[in-house]
Formats: sequence, structure tokens, C-alpha cells
Amino acid sequence: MRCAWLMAFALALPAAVAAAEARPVYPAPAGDSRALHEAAAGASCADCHPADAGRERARGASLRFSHRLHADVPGGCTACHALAAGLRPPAMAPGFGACAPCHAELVTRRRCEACHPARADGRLALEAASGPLRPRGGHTGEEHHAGWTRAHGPSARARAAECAVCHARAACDGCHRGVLRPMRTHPGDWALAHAAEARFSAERCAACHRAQSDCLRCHRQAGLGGLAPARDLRVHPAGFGVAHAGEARRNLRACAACHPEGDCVRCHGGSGIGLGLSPHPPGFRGRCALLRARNPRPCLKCHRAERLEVLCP
Amino acid sequence: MELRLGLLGLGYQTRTATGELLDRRRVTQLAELRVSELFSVGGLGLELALRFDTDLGLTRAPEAGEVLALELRAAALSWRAPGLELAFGRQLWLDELGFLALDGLRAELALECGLSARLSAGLQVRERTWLGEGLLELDGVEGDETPVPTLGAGLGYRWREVAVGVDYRRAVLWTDGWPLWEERVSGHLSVRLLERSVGFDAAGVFDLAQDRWERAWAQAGWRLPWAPEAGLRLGAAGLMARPLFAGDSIFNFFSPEAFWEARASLGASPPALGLSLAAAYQRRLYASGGAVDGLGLDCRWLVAPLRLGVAFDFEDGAAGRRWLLMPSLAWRGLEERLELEARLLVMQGRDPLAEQLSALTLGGSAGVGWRLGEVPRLLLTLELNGNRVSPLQTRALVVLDLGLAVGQGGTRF
Repeated sequence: MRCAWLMAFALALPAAVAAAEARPVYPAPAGDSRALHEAAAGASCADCHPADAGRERARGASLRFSHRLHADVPGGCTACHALAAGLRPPAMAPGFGACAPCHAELVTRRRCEACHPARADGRLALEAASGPLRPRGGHTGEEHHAGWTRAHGPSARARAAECAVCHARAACDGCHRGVLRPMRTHPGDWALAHAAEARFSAERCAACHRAQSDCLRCHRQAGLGGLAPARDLRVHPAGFGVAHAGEARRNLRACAACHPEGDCVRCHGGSGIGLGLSPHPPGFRGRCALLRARNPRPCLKCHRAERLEVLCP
Repeated sequence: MELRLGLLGLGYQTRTATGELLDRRRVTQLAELRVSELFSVGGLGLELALRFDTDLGLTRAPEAGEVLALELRAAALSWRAPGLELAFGRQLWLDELGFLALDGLRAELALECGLSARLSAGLQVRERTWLGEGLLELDGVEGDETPVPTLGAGLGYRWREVAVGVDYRRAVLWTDGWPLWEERVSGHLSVRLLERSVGFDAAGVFDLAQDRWERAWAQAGWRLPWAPEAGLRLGAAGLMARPLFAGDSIFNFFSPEAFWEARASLGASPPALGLSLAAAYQRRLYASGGAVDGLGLDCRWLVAPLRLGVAFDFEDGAAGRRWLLMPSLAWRGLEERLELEARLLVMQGRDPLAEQLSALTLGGSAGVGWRLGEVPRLLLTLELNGNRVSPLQTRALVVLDLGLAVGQGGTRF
């Protein structure tokens, strides 16, 4: 049975690879034009393409391009269609590199909609008759490869203006807050399985989830956490009260997901409160006056105003 | 003009502390409207986005209750001219200082010489404001209704493939004494060289209210020139970060540790094969000296009509030891209308606090979709999952996405 599955997979694989290679690109190539052009060496372009020089649109492509307006380019057709320059067959149509030298301003200002079909607000249309439009040739993921969905974060922050050429600002919000995205990002059953991942990589979760709303809302509804010791064991193991310091220093955001500030102050309220443990790091007294001057409200959650005058003059 | 209406229904089950299985249902309605050339005035535009969430299902905490939320995500008038964009109303954007939802005015000016300037002023959208929402507010304190007037400004310069910029934001609370809520400044540099085959990005954010660096990061990437059909990429990155809480939170006065991360990665993505391979090694250092080493492997292969994926993560160090493996296999047929997926998740963790933290789940799903372009589409998905706690769990998703677009060939700012 296993052999049959393997054989079926082996037979299907070449066809699948061929289908992937033949998927439409932008602009869509047609035929082995290199071989055709080599066979017609020495002939005039107009012999085979009598009407192309006057076309308003590039043939087979979805670009806003007028051959008629480019008819007088020095060098003629081969200035752009550099047949001898080794363009890979079958795509002998000039690419971005052929346009950029003359249209440097459009490139510099990211005016991609000058050539590419655009929507009413100027963003590029991503679905064209010749296939989907995807950037190619960038570094560190700007090329939208198969793993791009998971890898786009740093590039999106560093080159947001480039994203805006195709994507509306609401597009970030639509995915990062959507209900469709978690179905793809997280495997099924994640609601039960996420505990181990969240325990180790809370920062990763925080990239999308706001702890005090996303975590707390769900945990409350499911009755997890709370004051009952039996329930606490579902979140914290026995002995956690003594051992929690390192965990809190390593990732205080994870604690803040469930615990309001009052929980910490119950013990860490300083002299005379709880266990009398100060929550402040060493050296805090040196800069507390500055922080108090900027916003005394957090200080007043624990300290009386007259006491603050003494502690942070 | 673009109009988009979405209706999403999600149903799933979750296990409570007492072992009871709760049924949950969520209905989300989305409405988006984008108009260019409003009232036939060139450059005048309107963006409107609403989201309505309804959570239905049993709860074990009376205070949690059912969730009914209406969010006004965007409602802004804009005016665009060559080199200038003005927007007034509720708007959202992303920069080095983070996401910001603002009710107010934002202006962007871009000059021919490459200089650009940004200015924003208004009230931050907070959790308990009218039609507000809470995701964008920093963690740490219960939300309240105190308005937060915010002023932001930025300068940028772009020359060929080099971009630099600096941004500043100051926010105060609209109450006695105008206490400072947030004051940060950031700078960033982005460079692309050798026909964009080499890139370098770096940024830093300094918290003026706390008088310390909040985070700084740098990344460099190189698309290797050898074997271009293989799409080889080499990357390196470094990060310093410190937990950040809302301006009123006493958590800021505790001693959360900053951490440093260094990462090296190697990836390949031959476009002809639809294959993406990536491997990364990461080391994280905490101020106390603890360290965590991590290794990640990710493989995605689009071999129409199949989609194969394997992800593996391993971490070991101050936070304990953890590994996670997620293989998946999906098939899309009938012109991508029918999708079947099978996947497996295995993870195990061990740390000083929890000797055994493990999960083994097996899930599969089947979905049918009708897609006539980017929109409209109808998607029906049914998942079946199982693990040792809940042998059979289901999750169902229905999406009805309707869109209408009128007009084309517009000019972008």
C-alpha cells in the first residue's frame, strides 16, 4: 500500500513541477522567442512585427505602455528588446531594467502606477489578465517568495512606503486583526496547544496579540486562572510564588497578561506593605524625581503625595 | 470607488478548567468604503471602515459576558496633490514607533529633492473612547476615558536607494497638570545596494519619558549572485528590546530586563519550483546573563496542486528547553475551489518551573471556496482536530466576501 502511494506521488511530481514552472508570470511570456529570433537573424523587425511599432499596449502584457510613443528611441527595437544580451528564453520582453535608465524619476518616486495598471486610488492592481503581480528580485524577503507571509515583518517596517504601492494601510489591520489569519498561522487546536509556545515565546505572541484583551478575555471565559488554588495550577506550578522572580524579570509582559498592577503591589509595596519588597531596580532613586516630574500618576498608585516629596525631592 | 462587505462566521470549541467543552461562536461583519475623486474633486478621497464583532457562547466568568463590539477602524477624508497628502479623521498607520490609531490630522509632504516631512496631531484612539478599540494601546493599565492629545512630526530624506528618517511623538493626558503619557523619538536608515541585492536596515527608538532606549535593531541581507535560479539569501540581524507598558503603568517602574538578540539566517527560494527554504540560528541574552539559543527551520513547497510545509523550532537556555515540529500537506483542486489539508503538531517543553509541558495534536480540514478574483469569494472551511485532552474538536469558518470596484488608473501620492 505504501509503495502504491509512493509510486503515485513519484508519477505526479514531474507533472506538478511542470505546472509550477508554467504558472503565469508578469508579463506573460509566449513561446520560445529566442529560437524564433535566431532563425530569423538579419531580418528587419518589421518583417515579422509589422503592426507592433504602432501598438498602444504591449502585446501579451498588462502594462500601460505605448510602443508608438517609444518608436523613436535611439537604437530602435533592440534598444529595449536586447536580443543579443542574453535574456532568458522565452521571456524576451524587456524587463524593469530596460525602462529604468530613461525613467529614473518614476523609479525614484515609486510611481509604479505610471506603467502598471492601477486602481482608482493609484494602488497597483494585483490581479492582471497575464497573472498575479508579485515583486521579484529584492533582498531579505521583499521578493514575495513562498515563505513571505511569515517573513515580511522587518521589511514592512523598514520599507512601508514600498508596501503602500500595492497595499492599503488597512491591509495590515485586516490581516493582523482578522479571523482568517489565525486559521493559517496557527494550526488547528491551537487554543489547547498554545500554552507551551506562549510560555517560551511570549514576545512572539505579543507581535499580534494584546495580552490584556486577547489572553485575559479568553482565560476568564474558560475559567482559567483566578484565586482558586486548583485553577491556579493550570497556569502556575506549585512553588511558583517563590520562583516567580526570574520569570517576571525575563518576561514581565507575560505576567501582565493576567495580573493587574495591584497583584504585584500586594507584596512589592515597599516598606510596611506586604512583604516589604521594593519593586524598583537598583539605581531607581537616582532617576525617580525625573519620572515623577513627567507623570506622577503611576507613583501615586503606591505612594502618598507628601511621602513622594521626601522620597523623590 | 471600492466597496467591500464581509461576513465571517467562526465556530469552535474550547476546554474549560473543569474539563467542560464550551461551544463558541463569533460573527464578524466588515464594511469598507474607499472613494477617490470624491464629488468629482481631483485628489479628494474618503476611507471608511467598520467592524462589528459578536461573540456568542457559554462563559464561566459572569464579568466576561458576551462581547458585542463596534469599531470604527477608519473614517478619514484625504486630499492628495503631487508631493502632498492631507488626511483628516480616524486613521491608522505604522512606523518605527509602532501602530497608531489617531482621530485627527495627518500631513505628508514629499519634495522633488528627496526631502519629506510628516506631521500629525489629534487624539489617540483608546479602549474606552467612543467606538474605540484596544489593540493599539500599550499593555499595562486598565483603559480609561481620559483623552490623550498627541503630536507627532517626522523628517525623511531619500536619495536613490538610501532612505533616512527621524520621527518624534509626544502624547499627554488631558487632565490636571497634563502628565506625560508618551514621548519617544526614533531614527531609521535603509540602504539597498548593487541592484537591491544587498540591503541594510537599522532603527532605534529612545523613550524620552523613561529616559532610556526602548529598542534598537539592525538587519542586513544579501541575495547571493551565484546560482540566481536558486534564490539564495543570507541574512544577519541584531536586536535590543525592553518591555514597554502604557504611560500610567507602574510596571514601567519595576525592573523588566532588556534583552539582546543576534540572528543569522540562510534561505533559498527557487521561483521556478515554488520552493522556500529557510534556516536561522538565534541567540538571546538577558541583562542578568542568562542566554537562550534557538534554531529554526522552515520549508514551504508549492507544487501545484500540492502545498507542503514543515516548520521546526528548537530553543534551549535560560527559559528551559523546547522543540516544536509542524508538518502539513494541502491539496488544492477544482481550479483552487476545493482545499484539503492535513497537519500534525508535536511540541515538548521543559523548564525549571514545569518539568513536562507537551502537546501532540493532529488536525485536518476541508474547505470549499468560490473565487472570482481578489473579491468576491465565498469560503467554507471545516476542521477536525484531536489531542489527548480533547479527542475530537471541530472548528468551522464561513466567509462571504463581496466587493465592488469602480474606476481605474488613478495616481498615487
